[in-house]
Amino acid sequence: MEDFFIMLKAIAVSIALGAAMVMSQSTSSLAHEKTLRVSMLYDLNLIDPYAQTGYLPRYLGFMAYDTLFSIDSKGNIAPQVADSWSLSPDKLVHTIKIRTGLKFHDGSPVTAADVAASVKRALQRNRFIHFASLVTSVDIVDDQTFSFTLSREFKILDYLANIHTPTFIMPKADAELPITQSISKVNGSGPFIFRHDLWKPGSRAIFDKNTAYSPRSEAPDFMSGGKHVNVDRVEWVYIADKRTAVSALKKGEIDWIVSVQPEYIADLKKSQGVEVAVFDDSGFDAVLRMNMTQPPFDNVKIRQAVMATVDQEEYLGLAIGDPEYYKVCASYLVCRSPWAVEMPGATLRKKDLPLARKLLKEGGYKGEKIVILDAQDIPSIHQYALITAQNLRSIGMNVEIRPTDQATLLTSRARRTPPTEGGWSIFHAASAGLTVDTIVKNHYLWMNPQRAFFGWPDNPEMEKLRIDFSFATDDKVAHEINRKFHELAWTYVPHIPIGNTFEASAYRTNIKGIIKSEVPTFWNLTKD
Amino acid sequence: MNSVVYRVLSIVPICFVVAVVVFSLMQMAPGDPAAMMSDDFASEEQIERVRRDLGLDQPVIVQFSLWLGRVLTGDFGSSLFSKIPVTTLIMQRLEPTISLAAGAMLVAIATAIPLGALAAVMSHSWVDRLVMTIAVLGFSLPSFVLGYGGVWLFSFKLDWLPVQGYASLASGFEPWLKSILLPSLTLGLISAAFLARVTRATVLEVLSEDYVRTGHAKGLAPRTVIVLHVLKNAAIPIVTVIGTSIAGLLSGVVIVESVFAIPGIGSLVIDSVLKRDYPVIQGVILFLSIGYVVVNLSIDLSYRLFDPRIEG
Repeated sequence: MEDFFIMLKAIAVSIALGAAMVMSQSTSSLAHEKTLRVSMLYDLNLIDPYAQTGYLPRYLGFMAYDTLFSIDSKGNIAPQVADSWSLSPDKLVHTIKIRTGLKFHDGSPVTAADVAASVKRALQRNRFIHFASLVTSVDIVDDQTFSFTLSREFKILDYLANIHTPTFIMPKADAELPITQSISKVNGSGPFIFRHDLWKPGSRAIFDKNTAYSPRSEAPDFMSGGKHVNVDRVEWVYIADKRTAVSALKKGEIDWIVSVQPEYIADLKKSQGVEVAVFDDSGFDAVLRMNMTQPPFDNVKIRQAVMATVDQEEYLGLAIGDPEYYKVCASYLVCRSPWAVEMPGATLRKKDLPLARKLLKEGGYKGEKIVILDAQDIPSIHQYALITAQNLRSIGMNVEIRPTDQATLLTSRARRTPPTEGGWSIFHAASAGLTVDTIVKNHYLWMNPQRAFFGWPDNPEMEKLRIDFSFATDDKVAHEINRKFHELAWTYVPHIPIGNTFEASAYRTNIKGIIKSEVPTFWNLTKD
Repeated sequence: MNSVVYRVLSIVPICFVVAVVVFSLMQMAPGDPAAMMSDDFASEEQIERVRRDLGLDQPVIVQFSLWLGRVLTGDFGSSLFSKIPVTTLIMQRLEPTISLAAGAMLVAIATAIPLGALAAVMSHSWVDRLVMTIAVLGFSLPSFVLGYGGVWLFSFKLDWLPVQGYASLASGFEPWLKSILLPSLTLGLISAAFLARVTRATVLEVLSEDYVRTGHAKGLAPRTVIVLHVLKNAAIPIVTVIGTSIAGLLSGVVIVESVFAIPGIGSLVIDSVLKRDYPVIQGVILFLSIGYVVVNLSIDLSYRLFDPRIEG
């Protein structure tokens, strides 16, 4: 028996010695001094910045591609690849001269032909589709200059420069691919080079500093000005378990968590060497969307009844928690927008269940089944679904929650069939604030059922106002149209605003100079 | 030899059935990769065009035949999203998964067999009860509890090991070992719990055999009796459990991979399912199934090493 114990001891001592050898050095030796490790909320699984509306391909776009224009902190259009631009007296021909000496990552020069093709590709996006037909021609003037001609005056540069729908400059061959075909190799002229060879979907994406990049001479201001890169490499790390990401940040294994889940904010605020901040003041606009092609929500009265059950504070308080990270916003546009118009009275700020029941009765609700799509893999959306179900049940509606995941929800919401035949009645969603800050950009307010977003509202009067707004060149006129549109929306109820939420970002205190923006930017910042 | 060839060839129909099942499950799953890949504002026509480009508009039988034909030539296709070949994605994930599975198995074997044997040798004593209590605890504790506990102790309190991430062997032995030590302990201790119980039960049974008593009676050292006679004769059930554990580890490391942000095969399966990335799901599940079958076959064949009477 003694021999047996000796054998056990030998195994234990061997394991302990091996472990001690490994543990003898501090784990911080794994870190590289000038590498910025950033935990992104999602995984980068597509590299075409125009391929879908997912955020990461667009963030990649800002890293690896330069943009034709950008916007500064006051919302003004500022040149980026553009050097100068002019408008013809009839305001129909825009002529743009690009900067000289710009190069793509493969070493080829950036020419007017590349930029013109990139503008055409940008205009093919569905969000722009009704503007694309107004661009009658795009012409190359010389190697550094091109122009485009409009059939009608409108503020096209506002759309080409927008932070959510920028014009990424890519080589002509890439830009000329059909919009439905994703590019397979990133070759931009931006401040970082995407390392396709080191890309591990589901784990990490690596960007090296583009040493050949020539920043603009102007001081950086929001997304405009010189993009000076002060780190050698940026690693986007995907850590599926958010608690692990928080631990890694506290330990200094990563430098920045772009989006922190609400439940970890208090813990991070108490952690040494960690700062918590909100970099995107516009936040997200949460909505409750109904299927307006199917009973009972094809009936305005029933939609109004649902609106009367909503108390935004209830939704936001349960889903987000800390009032620092949400804002009650009774408007059809994100509240930070200068175009936001808040509803009068207590609507959306306080429930009015007697009114809801009255409207339900007036609308002739016959007990039709309400199917709520519930994406359980997104905590806030899941909470919204549960609260809506409870509210609707409280006024006597026949509610069924259909548990699903976001991937399935994206497909399910395209079905126009009745809820009893696999269709749906309600889904919840949240959009980045800057994508929904005007009645033209906000896809939930598109009122032509042929082009409208899922839920398919049909209101020609409101649709006409949207179009008029997009062509309004006088701010006063535009505000008047905007106000009329809102007044109609309060009655028509194309969706129900749930409020604005703000994502907290957490980073190590040795990172300085992060630009406040909806898009996480990795230029100008320094890592001590 | 014939029986070995027969056993190896029997893998083929199993793999075919697996392929059919995997493909059918994908067809039945809700969600549309074409819609997932398209812009939120894409029209029905645009989504249809993407579907056509992906070959998803073909009849199911045609899709299956094309897929199977490619698989037979070693081409599992490419991810619908990243466009990276499935084989490359699997190879990217294989090293972390094998490292983790091997590390976990090493921890399990190094702790469970000695402790299980010790519990059997000292059966019904306090040592036996202690070992079995620990085994029950290990078996009952969720892996994420062990994982987070380990992170708290070894990463935050002692600062010995990193919280997360995987360092490949190419980056050096020490970083590699540091990156898999805690995940391997977490996963290994769970496997060890079950293995220790099986070892105890088997050894206890063998200890009552006549040849063990004879060994003691003729004056053999206790170590010799246990190592050469008892453990060797108890090996078959233990090896069977080790084999099924290895196969299980290859696919069952999802939670540990997630807790420690290790980019292994398990997380590849989850990611691809959530994205409805059909070629990746099909390729990885087929790969894991073949791995499972091969490990089981190897275990079956290894019985002959422990007991020459077994013909295979």
